[in-house]
Amino acid sequence: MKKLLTFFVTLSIAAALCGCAGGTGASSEDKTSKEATYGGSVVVGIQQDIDGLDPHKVTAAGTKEILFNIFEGLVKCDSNGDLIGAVAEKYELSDDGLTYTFTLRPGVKFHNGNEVTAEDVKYSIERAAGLLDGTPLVSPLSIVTAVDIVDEKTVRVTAGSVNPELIYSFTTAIIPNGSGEDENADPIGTGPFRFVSYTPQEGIVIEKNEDYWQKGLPYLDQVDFKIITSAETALVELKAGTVQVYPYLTDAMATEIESQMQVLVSPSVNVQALFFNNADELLSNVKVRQAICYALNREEVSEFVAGGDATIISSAMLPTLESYYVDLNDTYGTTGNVDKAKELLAEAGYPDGIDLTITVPSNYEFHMDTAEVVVEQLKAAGINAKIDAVDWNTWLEDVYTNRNYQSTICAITSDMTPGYLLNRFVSDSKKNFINFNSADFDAVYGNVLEAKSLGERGILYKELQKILADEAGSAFIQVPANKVAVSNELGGYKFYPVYVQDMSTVYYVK
Amino acid sequence: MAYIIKKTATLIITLFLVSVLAFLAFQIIPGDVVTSILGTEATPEREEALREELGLDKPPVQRYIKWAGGVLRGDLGVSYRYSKNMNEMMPVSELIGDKLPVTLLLALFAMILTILFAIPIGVLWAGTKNKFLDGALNVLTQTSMAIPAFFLGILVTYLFGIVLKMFTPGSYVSYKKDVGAFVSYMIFPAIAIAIPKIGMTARFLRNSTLTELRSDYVRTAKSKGCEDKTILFKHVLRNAMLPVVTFIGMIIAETVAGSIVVEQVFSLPGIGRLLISSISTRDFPVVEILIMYITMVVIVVYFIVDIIYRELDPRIRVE
Repeated sequence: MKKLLTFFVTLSIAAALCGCAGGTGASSEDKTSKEATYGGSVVVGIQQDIDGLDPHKVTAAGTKEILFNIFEGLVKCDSNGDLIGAVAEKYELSDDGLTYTFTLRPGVKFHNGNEVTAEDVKYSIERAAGLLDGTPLVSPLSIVTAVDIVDEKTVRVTAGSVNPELIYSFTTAIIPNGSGEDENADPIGTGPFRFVSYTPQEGIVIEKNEDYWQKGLPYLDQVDFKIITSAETALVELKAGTVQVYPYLTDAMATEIESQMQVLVSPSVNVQALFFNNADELLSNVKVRQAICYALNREEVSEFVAGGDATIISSAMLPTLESYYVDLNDTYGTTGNVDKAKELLAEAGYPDGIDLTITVPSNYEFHMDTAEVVVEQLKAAGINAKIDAVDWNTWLEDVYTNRNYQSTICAITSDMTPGYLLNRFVSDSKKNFINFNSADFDAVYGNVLEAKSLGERGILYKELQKILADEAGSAFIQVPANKVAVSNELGGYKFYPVYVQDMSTVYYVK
Repeated sequence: MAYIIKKTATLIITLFLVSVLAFLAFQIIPGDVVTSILGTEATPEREEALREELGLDKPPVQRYIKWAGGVLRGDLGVSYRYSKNMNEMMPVSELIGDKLPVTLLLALFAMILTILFAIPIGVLWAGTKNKFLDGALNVLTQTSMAIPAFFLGILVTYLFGIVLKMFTPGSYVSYKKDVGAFVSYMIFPAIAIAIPKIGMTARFLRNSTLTELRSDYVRTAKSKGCEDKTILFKHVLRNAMLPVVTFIGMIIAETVAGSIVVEQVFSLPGIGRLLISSISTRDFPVVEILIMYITMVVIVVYFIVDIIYRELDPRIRVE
């Protein structure tokens, strides 16, 4: 017997599981008194250059958020954090959880005018899964062992092992058969906008896809993603009206621009923490790690650097992933407990305090600011911390790759997969840059891999969060808010629980 | 002729040394281009594949020789970071070719403004006996030199863009699309670059003019009954300009090498911005070519300064 999941069902299940409540808070749709109009073009300010145009190869969050408008997978994420059918209309999952059968949506066209065929889907998934040349481009898809064409409209994907979270990876872009190997391969997808041009250092321009399968979308004729590397310049250009949407306002910028534009606020998908190198001689002592957790006054940090708009956390899970999140803020309190910190340090054998080096990627002003506040707070507990500011590539090599550091303040950007933030803390994970090594954690994670359903996994994920917090793997701080400036002439901007800028729903108001 | 051959040889040797040093520097600084491109999520297979694709699996000496050989044949290589489309990387020549005219024109505009304002101000200042004007110019030039370039850029944008609405910040148009709009936008970043340079050059000219005014030949001219103006413009200025030419040469080299900060503030797609972002992403082929270009500009500008010197001062020619 096969369990048939139409997307209607998926939608409600995902809604229950994810419960991401996407737009959490403001959305500019409250402008109901004004009418949406078609046409017009918008300039969106972006912070850094894109790292490529190949949807399977790009890795930067700042690139993926743009390509979301051009490419679509078999499924895609909607603003509630639910998966909806895109190139596929529906899918079936076999009882053993290994075989996904996708039925393609009729009439979905690529930007070159060709209809999407089963061959295109097979090619795209095989390319991303590394079945073509042995190099998986999308890591989770590497467990895919075969992609078979059942008939013109049906594709069957077989996985080598069960992973209830694999469905999230089918958001991988569908591209025309063979297009990745073409000379002069233009980025061609099925999304609401088609690619027009890309100029390094300047930006990327996209225009309306007239044949888009979701009728009525998009509203805009053209969107110009313009690279503005400095925040001050961005502010000036917002004031001058050259830029209509800017999704990366700092707290200070938001205050300054509020009177002229709409400032929309929603929780981000970044988990910021003071990460410990658990293999460090000093920090391998759990009492020292706990002492630092106690010493932090996270409410004060958040007030200082995020204007109080952040959500305080104590473990590695987004509070917006409601079905998976467990509030552990009582573990160390949120306002700092200096006495307890000192007591733990004394117990650990450091009654006179300790020295701590915090490595911070200096291009992130937010993390730098956080570090300054943290250093002051730790002082009170007899922890003499100093900041080592490094550039991003040095950070990547020294901290992330070689794990040659003591502690660091940075943030992990989560994707939709619920386990994304937790699976990296398994002791032998390649992504475990904090060298977290807990037998309990590893044991529970072993059960996660056995669990066949997302519901079962959810319970185990809560256990993992608790272990991580209790053993003070790192001092988790906050999930900062995203603050987006949107021109008063625009409506329809939507927040997603993933890092994307969906321009298809944005329109000029009359 | 021998002079030109000598200069050309110096140019080639310097370029070679600089390219080796830049290559070495890139071997030493931390940060791996492969992690930089692929981020933290890539599979080891992909990292390996990319390393091979970029030729980074070869030993450094072999890589340098391959790169240098390419440059000698006119092939500047491809960027590690920028792609042309889904499948091809952007050739460095194409990447820089687009940005170079922007920076060169910006430098040209800034230089025209500097010379246009600095020389009259400097001469006027040296010649004035008005205490107030002297004091005012002193304060103004000091201030213009003291303001950090970044702040000055923002100040110019606010004043001319937001307050006076003479231009729209961020509305840069490529010269390929609309020359008029390009020029009228570029004037403002050029002003931001020119202001401190005007201050410096004017001060420099004033000081060297005052020194010259105290020379023996000025006294001789005066005693034979020359008018002050004639002395200033016919005799003194020619001599006073000598050090100023060197100074302007230095300024030109600096501006052409990329007005990094001003390009950032005005969102200009010039090579200054490209250099900074390429260093931070460890895009070696781009950085190496930009460094070579800057070296070349500096050497060529000094060479031109040398020639002008010879024209202005016959003594050097005799030597």
